[in-house]
Amino acid sequence: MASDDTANPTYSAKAPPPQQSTKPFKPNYRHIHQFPLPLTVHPLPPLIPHNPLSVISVFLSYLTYFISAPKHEVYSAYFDSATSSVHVTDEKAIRALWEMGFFGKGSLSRSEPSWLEREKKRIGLQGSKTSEETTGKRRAERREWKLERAKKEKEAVAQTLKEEAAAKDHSTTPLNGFDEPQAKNGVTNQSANGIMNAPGAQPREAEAVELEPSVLRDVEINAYDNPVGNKLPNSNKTVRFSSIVEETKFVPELSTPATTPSPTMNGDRFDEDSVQDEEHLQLSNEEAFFLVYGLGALRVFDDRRQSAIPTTSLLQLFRQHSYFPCRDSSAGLESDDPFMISYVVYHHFRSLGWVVRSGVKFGVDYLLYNRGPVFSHAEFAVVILPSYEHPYWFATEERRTRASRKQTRSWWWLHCVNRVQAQVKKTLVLCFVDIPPSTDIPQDDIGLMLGHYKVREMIIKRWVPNRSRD
Amino acid sequence: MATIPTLPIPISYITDRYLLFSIDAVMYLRREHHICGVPIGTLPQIPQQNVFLGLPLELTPEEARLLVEKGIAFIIDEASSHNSGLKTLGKEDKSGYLLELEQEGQRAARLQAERKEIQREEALKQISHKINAESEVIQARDPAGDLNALEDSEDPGLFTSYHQSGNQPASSRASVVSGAPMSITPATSYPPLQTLSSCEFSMPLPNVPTSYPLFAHLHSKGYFLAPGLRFGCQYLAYPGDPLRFHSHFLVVSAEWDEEIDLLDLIVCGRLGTGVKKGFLLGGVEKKSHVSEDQDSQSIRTFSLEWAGM
Repeated sequence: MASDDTANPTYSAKAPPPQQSTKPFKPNYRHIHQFPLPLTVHPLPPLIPHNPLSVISVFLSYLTYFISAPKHEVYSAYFDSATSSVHVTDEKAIRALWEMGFFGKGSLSRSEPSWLEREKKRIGLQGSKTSEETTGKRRAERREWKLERAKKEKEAVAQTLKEEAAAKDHSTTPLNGFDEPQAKNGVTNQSANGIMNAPGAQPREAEAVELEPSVLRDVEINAYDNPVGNKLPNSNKTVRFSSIVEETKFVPELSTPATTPSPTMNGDRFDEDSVQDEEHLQLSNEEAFFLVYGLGALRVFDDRRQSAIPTTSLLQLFRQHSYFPCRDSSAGLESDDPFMISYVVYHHFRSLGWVVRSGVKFGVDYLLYNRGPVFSHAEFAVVILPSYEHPYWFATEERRTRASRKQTRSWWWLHCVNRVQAQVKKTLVLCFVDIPPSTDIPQDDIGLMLGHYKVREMIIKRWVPNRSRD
Repeated sequence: MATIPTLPIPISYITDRYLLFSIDAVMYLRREHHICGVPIGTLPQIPQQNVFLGLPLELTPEEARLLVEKGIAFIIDEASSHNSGLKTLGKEDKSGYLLELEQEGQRAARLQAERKEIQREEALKQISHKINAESEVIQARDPAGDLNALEDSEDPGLFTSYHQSGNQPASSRASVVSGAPMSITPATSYPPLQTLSSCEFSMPLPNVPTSYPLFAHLHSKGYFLAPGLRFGCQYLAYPGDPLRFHSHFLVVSAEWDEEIDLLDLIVCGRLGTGVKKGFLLGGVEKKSHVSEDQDSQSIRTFSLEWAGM
């Protein structure tokens, strides 16, 4: 059920087994995703106090970094206000953001931006596999297997029927239908005829005239059944042979995969450059803000792609867009903006080293992966619940009702979420975010602002006593 | 078996629960009105389990209200009515009731004795058959070829002797057993007390959650509804008696203009599809132009299925 979860859980970076020819080539994910975040670090050499040489080496490397600062890669993206999401269109940035930290999602793919690869594969340029294809292939194989099974059953039935019919035929009009058309058409050589008609060779010329109508019928059948040749010792065998012919006729129709290469007029016309990558990477606002604020690895441009948005106004923008319809002025922003709450949780789990991705497919806010979706299934499903525990929220009746409206969940909802996570073998984490009062939030210092929020996690598990017993 | 209790049925209201104590009422409501409730009482024979439960039957407020609105039942404040009823109960009423109980106990004792007697006779008959069969086998094994005549003459004799030996002690025992009456614990307080639907202890309509219109709507369509909290919804809708059918829908009610989180729709759709049921969302349609006097609310329902699984 959770098989669509990761790109390809069975892939590993281990040395492939000996019979490599049958198995598809697996990329070395451990190498591709060796950096957990799109950051380059430059560690200083170790400082050993009683070794004066080490001090010198540290000093030297300091100096080199001071004189020529190592280049820190900053990728660029732009904010699309129509879809209120952040798009990355640069090929290099897309690969970097996906490979280092699994940020974003391909706009035409399930998760990894693999449209171009699939497209090339489709028109027959490339051999490697994307996860969508693996799933598709598995489905096609299963369907084909089912068809095959149904066909076999049908054939078995048809065969027995034919055998019975042939047995009956054999007893009534032995072999006559066979010889006559051959003789008429002049296709057959005499020796073959001789073998065939060994039992009743003599009277055949005489009988043929008498049995004209049945002969004609048999001509048609024979022509259909046995177009290859007439080397068959008796009619019983003819039937068996014909079934094989039938099979060869309609097997190709069935086994053609859905992704046949499209008709290419001149096959060598396509090259690597002729296929334009029409896909871009979509970053969720939380991911984009984490990359901008938390890592400093991204610059977000505005709609017209003219100027980069400064971090504080980017936060304002995201907070405004977390409402629907989007709030225009920053005056309407509260401390419990949907964006603030979800970003706090995103930042929290990213800081703890998890790969955080959207959990919309399982109806939760986030999925937590240990190293990334290509390595293993997600272990935890996070549901975010705002919690209004500050005395500020109990001060007035209006705030009380607001708080209770925002944090009330029904029991059936909890059971529903919990059951779904149990179905897909995830552990449900309820993540409570303590909402600070709207008033004492500094709007200009993001670090201070985030410091006002507190995150508590709680694991919920459905415990069935009868099944949990040893 | 199809006894119809006197209508309206009193639903006992005890500590915020709507309870039914009469097995007749429970069976009648389930059979005729598609109200199942939840049995919450421990079975006295097997008390150390809670998979199978018995009386009393707890009704949800929705079920209680539906029954009251249909005029099948009324709700009675059990504690106070019981107290005052016992106080006002006359001496002769009391003794009459006790006498009745004793008679019923005697009847029960007699019934049980008869049943035992029948069982015993059956057992004896089986034993006699077995012995008979064995003797026949023994005779068949007799090496002498033509013993048929002998067997024929002997067989009836065997039968009669066994019959007589089996019957005589039974008949003698039956006359002996008519001893002490069984003690009967009455489960309801309404044979001794008077049931009056218009008494001062009858309660107003129960408070129901906002999902009640949807509940009533589905019930009127012939669905059996069971509480669905265990399964992550508000009600489970069964097409027939839950003992015979799997449920078809996980039902959740919503206000007409309520904001529904898309994540909730996803999770509910997944849940329903995962257990091969439809997720059904419904509520009262809010029509701006319809006047209030047209009291038939129009309920609209939508079902959801997760296509990707």
